[in-house]
Amino acid sequence: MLRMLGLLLLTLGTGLAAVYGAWLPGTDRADHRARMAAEAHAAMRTVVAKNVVKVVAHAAPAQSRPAQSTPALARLDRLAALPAPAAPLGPDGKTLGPPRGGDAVSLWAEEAGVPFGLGVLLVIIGVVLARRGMHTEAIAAQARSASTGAAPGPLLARLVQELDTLCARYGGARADIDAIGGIDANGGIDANGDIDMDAVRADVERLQQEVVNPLVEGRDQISQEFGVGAYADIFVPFSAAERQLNRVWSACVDGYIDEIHPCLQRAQVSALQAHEAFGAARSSQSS
Amino acid sequence: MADPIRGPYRELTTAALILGILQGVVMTAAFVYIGLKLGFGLSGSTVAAIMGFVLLRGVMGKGTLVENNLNQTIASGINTASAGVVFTLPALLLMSVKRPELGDFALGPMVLAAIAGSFMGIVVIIPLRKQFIELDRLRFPSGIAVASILKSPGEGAAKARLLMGGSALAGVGTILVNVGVIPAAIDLNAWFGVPIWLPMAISVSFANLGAGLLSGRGGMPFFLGGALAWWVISPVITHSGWLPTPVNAPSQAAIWAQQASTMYGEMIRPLGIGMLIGGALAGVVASYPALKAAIRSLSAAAKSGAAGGGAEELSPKVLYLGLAGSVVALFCASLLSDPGITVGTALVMAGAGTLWLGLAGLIVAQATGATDISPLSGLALIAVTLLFAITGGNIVSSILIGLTICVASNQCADMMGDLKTGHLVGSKPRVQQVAQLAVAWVGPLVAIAVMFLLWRQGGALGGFGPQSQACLDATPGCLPAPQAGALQAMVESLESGKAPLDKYAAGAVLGGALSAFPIGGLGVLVGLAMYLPFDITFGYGIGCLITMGLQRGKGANWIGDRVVPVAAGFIIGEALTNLTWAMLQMAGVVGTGGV
Repeated sequence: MLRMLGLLLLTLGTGLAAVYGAWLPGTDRADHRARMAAEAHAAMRTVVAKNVVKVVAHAAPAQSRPAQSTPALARLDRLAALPAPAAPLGPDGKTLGPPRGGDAVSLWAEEAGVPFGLGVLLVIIGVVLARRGMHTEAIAAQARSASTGAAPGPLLARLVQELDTLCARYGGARADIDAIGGIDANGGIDANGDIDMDAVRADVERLQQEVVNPLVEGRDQISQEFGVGAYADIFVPFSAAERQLNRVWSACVDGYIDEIHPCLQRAQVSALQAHEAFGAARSSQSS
Repeated sequence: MADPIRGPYRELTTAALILGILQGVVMTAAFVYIGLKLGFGLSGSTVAAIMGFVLLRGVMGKGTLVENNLNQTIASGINTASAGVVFTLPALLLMSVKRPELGDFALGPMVLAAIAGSFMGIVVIIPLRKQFIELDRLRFPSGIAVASILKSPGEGAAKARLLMGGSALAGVGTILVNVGVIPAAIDLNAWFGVPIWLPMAISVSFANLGAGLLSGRGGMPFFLGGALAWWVISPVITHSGWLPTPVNAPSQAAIWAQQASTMYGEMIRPLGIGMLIGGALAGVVASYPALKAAIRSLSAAAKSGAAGGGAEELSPKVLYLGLAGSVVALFCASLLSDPGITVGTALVMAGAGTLWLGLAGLIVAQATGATDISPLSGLALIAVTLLFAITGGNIVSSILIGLTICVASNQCADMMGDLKTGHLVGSKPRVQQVAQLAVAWVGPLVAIAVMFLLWRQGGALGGFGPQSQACLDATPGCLPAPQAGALQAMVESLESGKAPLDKYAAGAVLGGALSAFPIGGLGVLVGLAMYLPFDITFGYGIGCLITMGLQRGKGANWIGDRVVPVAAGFIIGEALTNLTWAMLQMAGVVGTGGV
């Protein structure tokens, strides 16, 4: 409710401020009118001149009708009789042009400053209300999702846990297999003792879909609940873990087996840092 | 399962380096020509990723996903300088046709400034990578598209088919648009007789739609910003009688068309530019705790990596040293750019240029991260305006800093996209950044050399621009240099004192207020929506809405499995088709207006 009210005020304020922000002060308009008049005058001359060329070209071979009788030449006569548009004059009798530099700003502020300022004020009130509303909603959403395990905290914990498992499966297990000569298949280890990269890729894709993507989708909850600084402390290491997982995926596609375990380990360390930062943010909030 | 390979994972290899540099140099030369001919820049990441796929993995048979990411990072890191150079430096040459004194500028400082910009763009990204990729989780649609190419060997046949299908559909659609069978925009205003002050046209761009599809809910602030500007503010302004009425307009529709042009060019767009600035500034303040934490983690990662022998992040020392070096280089370039520049002015120029670059880097990173669109010309415009004021109207020195900002901003956008790709395939950010730093000087050198080569071959009137002989004769070799022409017009309007400072100031205040909202970069996104024509924002917004609808019905995993590959295919297909089309145009096989 508070958020909607904030958004409404923000929209109204933006509209009002933008309309008056775009305001053309009186002198600008006068300058425009003079310029438009000059342009129209020039355009009319061009049109008539073109018509004259056409008429002369058309009439010359026939030699049968006087050029003066054509509508185009009559328009040319009328045009010649028109006075050239005069530039508007200022109070001091000098020609007005558009205001320059600081004059332009002060002139605009004089004519449109009050409604513009009102619009900006509405925007600011709207922003404050929307921020409060979003903060309240984020805390409520956090409480709701905590029970389903879809809240950022449980998701980060699951990321750490799953990466521990993957590191053990594809790193620790690999060392064992190397030690015994690579004769057994155990989870992601194939019969030759090499990591089954299709299995790793499948695990990484599952982790991305079930944990990483929901965390990214729910990131606003973290920033609303703990603030921008704490959000950065959590999401910078989380993003590093995410990038390492992406690298594992690429290495699997390319078949670079030795890249997999170090990347998983780096992802594990970064995920742990993110989880710890989340815990720190939570405890500093409760204290 | 792939046969297991023993040994270290191939990442930054000689093959990736050589292939990346070769591709980068060739694409830089080609993109300079395309930029001067057609007026837009192209991204080389997609092409480089596909070439890397074919050569490293296909021909050599041992390329890895992260190695190809490095190849593509190096190639695009070089060619990205082309847009920065083409959008700025040629303006000086175009102006020199009528004012020969402007053509006598020293080339050395320009080259130094462009190279400094190239390095600065990468250095600024070091802390921003954590902020925008890891914390704000911006999508960087092109980065995802390139990652889709790199990951295709492991993604399975179904995803590969969707990627190819999306690419093919976008390719065919883009060709049909280019030959004129499909209009470039679906003009709902004309279909339903809606007046132009309520714009309803939708840009027919598969890449734009793809970017929206990839962004989903996260892209909605951008779309809503556009809707607010054009469906609320525009009708209010039109019906309040605030707009000057054109003289002698033949019809009410013509009056509205003229008024809509005034409203966009002189009211909403400058306001949008101001919002970009204010939004980025306030964004720094709002995300200061996160930025601080990001830099702290960089230090920790560098220390632990150094202890363990394998740092994955560049140390913040590189950031500080790089910034200091860039300020010194900019100071030297500024001082040498014109005899009229004093030491004090050069110091202020270097300081202001560096500060603005930091802000421009933030804006570009946020804008490309959310929408794949970089407001490059707007940033160059502000840089030139700022420096014009600082130097008291020195055009050469102002364009020098504009060049630095443009090269640096493009480098930021490119590096961010490549780092996003790297995050998705698991590359080490430090290796990517070191590779890009190692070749950062190549792009500006090649781009400036090619540009001067093209200019010199045109004789007294120059080799490009509307006044060049080729364009006067309307020969196929005409290079109109539209972006440089736009900057030239802007500089000339600055000389007559017409910078809309009031709109910039108002926009900055509003953008700053919006950025306090807890959606990252709201001020920048709404500002970007006002800065761009609405047909682009509308097409992008439709993509966002489709993804939101599908996500509600089918779930997030379905989006990842089905929508992401198709959307990535849209971006890849349009990019490749437009690149091929531009090459065909240059070869004279197809005309600029169709076949």
